[in-house]
Amino acid sequence: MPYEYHDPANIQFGICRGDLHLGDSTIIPVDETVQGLIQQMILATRREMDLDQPHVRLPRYEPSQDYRVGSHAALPLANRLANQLRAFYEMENRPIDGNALAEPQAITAYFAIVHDHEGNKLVAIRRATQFKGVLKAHLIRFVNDSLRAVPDRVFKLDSEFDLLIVDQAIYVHSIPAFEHLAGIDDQLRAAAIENTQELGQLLTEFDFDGMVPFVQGHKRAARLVAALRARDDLEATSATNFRRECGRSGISVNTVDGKLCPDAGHELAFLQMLDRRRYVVSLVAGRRERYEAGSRKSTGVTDRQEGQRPARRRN
Amino acid sequence: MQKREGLPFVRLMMIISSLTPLFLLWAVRGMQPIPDKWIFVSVAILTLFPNGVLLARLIIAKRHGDEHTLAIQIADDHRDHLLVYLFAILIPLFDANVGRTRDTAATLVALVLVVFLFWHLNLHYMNLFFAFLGYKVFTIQASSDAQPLVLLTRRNALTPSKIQAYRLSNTVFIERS
Repeated sequence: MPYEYHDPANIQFGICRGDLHLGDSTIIPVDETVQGLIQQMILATRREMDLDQPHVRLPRYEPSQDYRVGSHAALPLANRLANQLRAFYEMENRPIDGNALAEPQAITAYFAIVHDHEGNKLVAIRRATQFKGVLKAHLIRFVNDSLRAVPDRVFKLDSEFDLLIVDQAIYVHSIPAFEHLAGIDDQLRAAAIENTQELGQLLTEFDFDGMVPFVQGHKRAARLVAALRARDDLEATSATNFRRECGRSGISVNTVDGKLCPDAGHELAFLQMLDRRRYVVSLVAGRRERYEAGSRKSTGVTDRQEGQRPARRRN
Repeated sequence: MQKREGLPFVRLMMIISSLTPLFLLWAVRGMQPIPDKWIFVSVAILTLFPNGVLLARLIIAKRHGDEHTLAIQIADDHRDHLLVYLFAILIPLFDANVGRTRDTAATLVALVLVVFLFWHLNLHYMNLFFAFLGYKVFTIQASSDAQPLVLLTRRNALTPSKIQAYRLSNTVFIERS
């Protein structure tokens, strides 16, 4: 049974200190008024991502994608990139401390854990960057049509969470916050060697061994390798087609011991080509324009039947 | 970070509440040289007020939705704790000589020490009234290295599952019936 958003059995609120996976997280008891606000935040986050609409599916998160502000994505909770968030989600019976807000400077995120009456769990997390600022400054609020400075410490809830973890998936409302909370860069750096070597095992006509030091030292390359590793069509890559596309895009490749590898200085472009992020357009006669697609969206795939040739225009 | 137990007043009242049977026994027997009327008044206060606070805590937890979903992976039945409580605390204190002023004073000091120990060891869940109401005491953990919590429940046994419970203190919960 999927999680029932409008049927919460109980709502807990908590804060994190330090990294999500290394730091500690504590539940702070809140009354029904705060619980109501948290429920509103969760519903607003869901609405912002159109998850309340039937048949809406968020695009799968790709670490190599350049996301614009306001982009949303989803990632299966079982994905390797979700390790930290999965561990956080699966943690049960967190300690309770009503005084946990005593050291606000150490707070890095706040979260809510909600169970529905079927026992399904939802975890919503928000980075606490704004919260710290509010604690240092005086909060202003409306009282009788006039503004008044509130000298007390005030916990200011936001209007939405950065991500929801529910139904075995992570629904990302804010991509930068998700990447920070999930420790994407740290994970990719740690897995760079393993991911690159696994690419070599999947693409036997390509040589990735020489690229390991490059991938280790380049954040963008590590993201591309992770994205490639997650592709399900990688093994079907044609070395002949790849070489042809590289030639059209000006990417210099070489064959060493029968395996295709990039020339020095072309490693990133080589990986981008594999991840369909390099393309050529020739709309002006005699000119080829080369582009790099930081953000791309598939508009469909056409499989050519065996023996079929592209249609030629006849005058 | 240092773990905070929280709700100190409620915990103190729960501990005093757990000693209610002793107070009642003292009231029946009397404590020389303290006049009976003072004993009755004291026992009435020491019985009604802490149990009233405990009841109020439960009502407040229900009213404010202070309800938690607890995961049970490991559960230990601590019914034997009540026996220990009965034989190690109640009976020795009841049997103590209270005929002379110094004996009475010594007994009261022992009582204060017992309260301190209950407080220090987080044994505020020891309460015969819960037992009278059919509640059993279990220590539960979400995993072998997770923080142990105390759960008061009417179930005879706990299997790996999730249950809904109201918070009495940060480590003591009572299952929602």
